Amino acid sequence: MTDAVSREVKGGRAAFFENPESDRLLAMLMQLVTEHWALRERAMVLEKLLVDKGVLSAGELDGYRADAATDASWDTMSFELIQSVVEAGRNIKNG
Amino acid sequence: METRLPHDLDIEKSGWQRARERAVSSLRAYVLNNLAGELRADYENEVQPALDEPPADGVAVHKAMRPRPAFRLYSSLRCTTQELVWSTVIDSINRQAETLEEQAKALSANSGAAGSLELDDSVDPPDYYRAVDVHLMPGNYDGAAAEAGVLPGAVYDNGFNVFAFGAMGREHNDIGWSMANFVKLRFPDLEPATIIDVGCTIGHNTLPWKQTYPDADVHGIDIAGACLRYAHARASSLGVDAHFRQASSDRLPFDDASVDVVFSSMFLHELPAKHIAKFMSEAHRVLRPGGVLINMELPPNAALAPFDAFYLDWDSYYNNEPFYKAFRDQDYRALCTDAGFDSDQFFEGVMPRYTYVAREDFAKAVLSRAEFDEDTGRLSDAIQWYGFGARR
Repeated sequence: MTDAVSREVKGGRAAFFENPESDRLLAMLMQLVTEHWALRERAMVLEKLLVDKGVLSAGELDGYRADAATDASWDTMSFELIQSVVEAGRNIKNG
Repeated sequence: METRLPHDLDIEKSGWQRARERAVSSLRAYVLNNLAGELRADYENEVQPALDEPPADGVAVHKAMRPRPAFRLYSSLRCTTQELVWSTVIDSINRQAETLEEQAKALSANSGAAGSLELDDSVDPPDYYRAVDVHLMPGNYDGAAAEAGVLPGAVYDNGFNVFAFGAMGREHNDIGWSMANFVKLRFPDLEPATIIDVGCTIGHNTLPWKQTYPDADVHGIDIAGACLRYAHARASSLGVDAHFRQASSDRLPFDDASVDVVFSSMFLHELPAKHIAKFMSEAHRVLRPGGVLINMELPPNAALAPFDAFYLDWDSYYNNEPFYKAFRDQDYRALCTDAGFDSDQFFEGVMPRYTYVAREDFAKAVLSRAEFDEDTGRLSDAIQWYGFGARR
């Protein structure tokens, strides 16, 4: 379905770095920062609601320690996330 | 940050959407306050001392700054943030396009008899208006499609809320309040019966004139029908009576000597020079003797230090504002006298934001001689508005 309002800008916009790719990367990063803030705010809302409703006590999330098996699985997940990010450009040829 | 608009065209936004708007607004505040400060420091501490001779103007500063990392980072982030301003709110608007159109129709239908909307299909936007999307705003002021309804107005209103990071008034109307009160303080004998706001878009700066001069008929004029439809519904929701009419500033739909105040804000810099001259002549034609023309604008380059001129002209090069610099290079007094106003009737003023400061501080600035500094016209938490015009 076509959106009622398009995002295309007639006339485009300028690039400022030696390669326009750097401007694009910066734009992607800022889009991610925006999304990162949205996630962080969501987590704060959740924690506040849980504390306000008495499901958690204040500071309980910060004091949480996972059991050994869970902790080990999160180590793996964390490594896999880092790996997927770093390797995202692995097919790009040099030059 | 307040993400709700203070009228009934406000759309429901999820927590996710509100949080994104907050992030983009914060990013803009950071770029325009902090990174802009670093840009100035780079110029003052590194670039200027290394120049063989002082820069003649903003163009010379621009040339010296272009290779600088501080300039590239500031500029790239400013463009990106500008794009995020619009794309963030467009998501919300697309989700509720139908609801928004229905709400606008209902509000317009309930508008009091003292307000009106008059659209004219024969008003054809000029080629220069169709060439680029001003301010990188997708679809410009009337959308790519003729059947755009009120959505381009909604994009502008919601985007403006993120864009202004709280610096332009709760209803984005501080410019209107400031200019109306500037006129009231400078010309206390004026009792306007008819006031027109040319290039009014969504009428945010139109309504403060009606609120300042309740006995006057207030008219908002624009070529963009979509913004006018939105403006009329918005005014209806806010309970302020105003007339909105589709017309070109090349030919104002008013008789000779029939208007008491011709107002425009952030408008002249969107026009090629010949259309500015045409508008100024039209303003002179429709004003009654004793009537006032007042244009809120960016200050003229000649009044600014070279760095400040460069800083404001950035928009002309990089924010799809092709006529902005050419306008600011002009002599504003000459714009008035060429249109028929007497030179000794020219006035200009620099003032703080009316809805942010104590009344006496505002009055003191209005009644003083205009003084220009780095905050004149530069959107930040310390902005000062500039206005100029002439009495007929």
